[in-house]
Amino acid sequence: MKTSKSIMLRLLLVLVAAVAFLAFACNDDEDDGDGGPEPTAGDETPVAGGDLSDIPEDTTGVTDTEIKLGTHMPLTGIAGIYGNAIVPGMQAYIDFINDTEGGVNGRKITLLVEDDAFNPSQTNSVVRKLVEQDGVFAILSGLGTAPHSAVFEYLIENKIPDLFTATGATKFTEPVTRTAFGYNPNYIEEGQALGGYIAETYPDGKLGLLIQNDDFGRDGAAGVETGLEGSNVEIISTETYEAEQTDMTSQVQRLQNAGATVVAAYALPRQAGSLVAVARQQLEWDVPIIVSGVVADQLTIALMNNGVPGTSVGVVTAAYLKPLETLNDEGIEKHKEILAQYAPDATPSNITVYGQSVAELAVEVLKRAGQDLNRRSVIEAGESVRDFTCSVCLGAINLSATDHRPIQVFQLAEVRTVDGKEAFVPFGELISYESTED
Amino acid sequence: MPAVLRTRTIGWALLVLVLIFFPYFHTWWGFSWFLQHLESTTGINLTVFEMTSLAVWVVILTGLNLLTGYSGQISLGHGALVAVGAYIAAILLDRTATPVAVAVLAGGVGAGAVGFAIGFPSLRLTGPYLAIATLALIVSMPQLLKHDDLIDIARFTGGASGIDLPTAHAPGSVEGLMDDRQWLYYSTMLPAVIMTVLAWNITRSRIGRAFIALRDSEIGAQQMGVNIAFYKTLAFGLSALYAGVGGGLFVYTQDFASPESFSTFQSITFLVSIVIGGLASILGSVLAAAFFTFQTGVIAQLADYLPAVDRLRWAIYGATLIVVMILLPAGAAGLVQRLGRLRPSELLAVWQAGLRSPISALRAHPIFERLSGGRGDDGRGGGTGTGA
Amino acid sequence: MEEFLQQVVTGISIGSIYAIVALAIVLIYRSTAVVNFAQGEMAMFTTFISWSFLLRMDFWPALILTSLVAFALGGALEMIVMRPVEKASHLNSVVVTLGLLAIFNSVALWRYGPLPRPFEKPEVFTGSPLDVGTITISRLNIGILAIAFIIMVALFLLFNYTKLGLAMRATAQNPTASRLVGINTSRMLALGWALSATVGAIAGMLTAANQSLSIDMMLAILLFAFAGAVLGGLDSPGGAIVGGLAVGVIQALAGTYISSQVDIIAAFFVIVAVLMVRPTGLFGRRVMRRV
Repeated sequence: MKTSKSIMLRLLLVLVAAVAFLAFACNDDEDDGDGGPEPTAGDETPVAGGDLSDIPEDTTGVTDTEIKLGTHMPLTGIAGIYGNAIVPGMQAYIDFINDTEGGVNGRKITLLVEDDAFNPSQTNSVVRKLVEQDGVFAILSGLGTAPHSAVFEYLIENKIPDLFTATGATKFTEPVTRTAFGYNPNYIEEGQALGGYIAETYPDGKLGLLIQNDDFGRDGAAGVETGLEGSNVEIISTETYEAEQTDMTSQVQRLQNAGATVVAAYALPRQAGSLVAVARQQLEWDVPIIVSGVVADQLTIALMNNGVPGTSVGVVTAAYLKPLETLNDEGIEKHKEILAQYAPDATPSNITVYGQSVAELAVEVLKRAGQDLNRRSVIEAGESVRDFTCSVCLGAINLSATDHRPIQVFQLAEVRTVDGKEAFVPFGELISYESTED
Repeated sequence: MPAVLRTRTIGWALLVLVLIFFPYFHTWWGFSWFLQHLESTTGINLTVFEMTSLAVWVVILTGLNLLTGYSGQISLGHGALVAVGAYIAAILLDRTATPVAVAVLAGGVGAGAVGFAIGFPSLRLTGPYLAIATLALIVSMPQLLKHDDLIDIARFTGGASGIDLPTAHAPGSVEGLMDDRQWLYYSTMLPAVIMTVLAWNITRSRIGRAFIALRDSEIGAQQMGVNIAFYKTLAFGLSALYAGVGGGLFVYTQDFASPESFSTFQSITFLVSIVIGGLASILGSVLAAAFFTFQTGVIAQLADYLPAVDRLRWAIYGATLIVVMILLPAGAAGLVQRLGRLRPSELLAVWQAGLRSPISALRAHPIFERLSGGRGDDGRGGGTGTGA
Repeated sequence: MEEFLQQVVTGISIGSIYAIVALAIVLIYRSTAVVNFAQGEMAMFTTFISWSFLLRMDFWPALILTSLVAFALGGALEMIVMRPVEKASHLNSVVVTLGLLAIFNSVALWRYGPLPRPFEKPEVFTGSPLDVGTITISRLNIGILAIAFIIMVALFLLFNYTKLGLAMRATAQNPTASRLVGINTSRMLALGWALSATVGAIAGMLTAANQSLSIDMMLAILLFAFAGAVLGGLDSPGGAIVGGLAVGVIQALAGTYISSQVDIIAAFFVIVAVLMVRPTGLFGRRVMRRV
């Protein structure tokens, strides 16, 4: 009896499942029209351009006294280094503005920070919460290519301003989506700047690349290649690594064996550090090393030195913000003051500088939107930014309806000994990728 | 007897009703007030989307429980099978006009096939050796998915960028009846419920009994005539099928799949969840999914009061794991089942006994025996309920 | 040919850390039949403790002090946490060690933060690398290899030529009989964990000296060390060394000759392949169990 009952149950289940299956399968065809043969995997997002009038003049998250912004950052996990430094930088500046200027146009800014641990499904979860339950006005500085990819379309569809995402990935700004703005320089453009420098300084060089096996590394490599166009420099070897591999000995040796005379790396702090330490200390190889601006901070220098001061001297990068060690600089000094007062637990670093720079741009845009602040006016305001140089920026920011990428100006920087300590020191001219048309 | 039965049936009926009408609850003002308060006090974000995600995790964790809880084979790389299902479904949805249901099923079948394939090597490997083999899978997944050197796999999988799907929309035929979010809920919850009931059914059948026999004593089971090879492989295949369907549903609800979505850490979290929820129990799998879905929110809430909690979150889970393994091997589900069988008058007695039980369990701990003068104990746990 | 040798040497250098951690894993497995998933995190944790010692003293004294702390920690863990689950099913002990992994990782994160810190190298290992022909190997890597070898020899001597080692082996093989002849089995079990924690601590300090000290430094290493231990056979210390080194070499060679994108896959592929042919690893013994 028991067996026949369970067989009955199973049959019933199968029947229900089959019916449901057919129902779903037949119904879906109607809306899956765009599931057609054109693949979107790896391509830019399918939503492009758009009219300003498509954006409703929504004032969710804005009251007479408050503007609510939200962000998703990795506060735990391996990428927690970034979240835990950027957030204090942003928050401190926002508190500063709230305190000294009473906010923007009489409204104080509230920043709601949610941790997504660099896990895309968690990003999905927290961003929906921010938008639907916390009712934020806009998302500011969402960090991470993969995490933000998970919510990018959701934000576009719901016409939520997606301001100044903290990533250099191209997919968020090209093609331009009206409601989304990037922030970090495009890794491709940064790569171009570095490539250009290599072509100029080592005209007959043989370039070895060390890249992280993801968009960051590959975009950077693509940029370097573009920057090398028309020169005699050839890329003779590309070594990749996975984020959890921290010992680059093998990769560096392979680059040396391949005959590299210049090395460029799109790597994160520990790998960049390992690269320099292994090359200089273990292999006693004084090959010129150029790294991505992503690691232009004190931590990486310490890792590069690996206990032996001076190891990192000569490493070149492309910077777009003033390094913390810049002497006698008003913006940097002010940054340290602001941090000391509003985020005393945070240690000033190039990353907190980054956080403040984003906050400054956000405040500028909110100011420009004026009293009549809504989701459309903030986009208009964003696109109207011209020649805005934040207090810690190296170059000016220009935005327009076709240019949603704020940082497009670099300056090369080199590790030099300053006051007995090594630091990245900018040199040379400002390199701009700003398009001249508006 | 009939009284208990009636309460049972009412309970189930209530549950079914809640599940069916849940997406419409928020239209009732009372419920959104409740929701807001729930969220601001406990951090549990009981929205339609979260419940939809819960359904996905239920499917995945039920599969893992079938493998590890019922048949006792440790898998540290379950996420790899989820990834297989997810990517198969994602590629189909992205590049062809396959309907979602078919894509999800394809994901399940594909992962199931992989699971069967893994099942064979598992026949020769035991315990830690099996664990390492499954770990090998999940650790290698990211490199595999991003590869474009020898074979251009990345072309299909989108490499490091992953696959971006357009947001799922409700079909025209239900317009007016439900919005996109509600449709997503129903189209995910229904398969999840079906698969859960199926799993429940399996565990009560001959297959389930074979699994348990396998877990408790492989040699003994063999002596009793259980075809070890078949059931071991079946366990892998079945759990992989569930993982694959879960993966497909994952991609359907998240509209996105990337190598970062399936980390080693996530696979270990799966294992942690089913232990806390309750091994070898369907209720346990559901509780595990609840844990998995809501733990971040709850901890974030706690962290508002005690900032250290955020960083110590995993210490808390780790400690919970250890406590569960030593004192409460049947997990939260075991606790619920024990309490559920009692009438209110008995509850008090059980509560008191429950308070005493960890203390007596502690007393039975070898170290106390030692301290209180016992000599030369044999390293055995001595009656602290170590069987699962 | 030169590149091949160079990469083999590099692989051995990388693998030497895996080998030491694999030794620690095997130590516990041999004495308690439990795989300690928390091995890496315990090592990391004790290395952070050594960091505080290093502020006040040199590397070698700090190493000795940290080893003592680790010894005590390992023994305590076995007695308090592992004892109740050791004789239960595999799953129980796996889960408990995973719980320990989580606890150590989390507490370290809370106490020390997520940023990597540069770690002091022992004096004797600094300086220019050694050149043998065109092959270079850093002094630190040679040092690590040497230490791995020393530990292996020490353990070998302990297990095969001392009464204590004999007692430990007996406890692992037949606890009841061992008790009957008067061996304090519980002490032997605790000793197994204590020794393993010590070896782990040494591995941790060497890893930090090689790269930098951070919360997640041992996660990847544990994976490969575990793989190496399994490859060599979980109850064979010699196998642990061979396995650990092999994993390093496979990674280096696969990255060089196939593609740097497959080095991790290749290592695990080889391991699974070996396990197919020899289910208890290269040097592991086949287990006969009485039913």
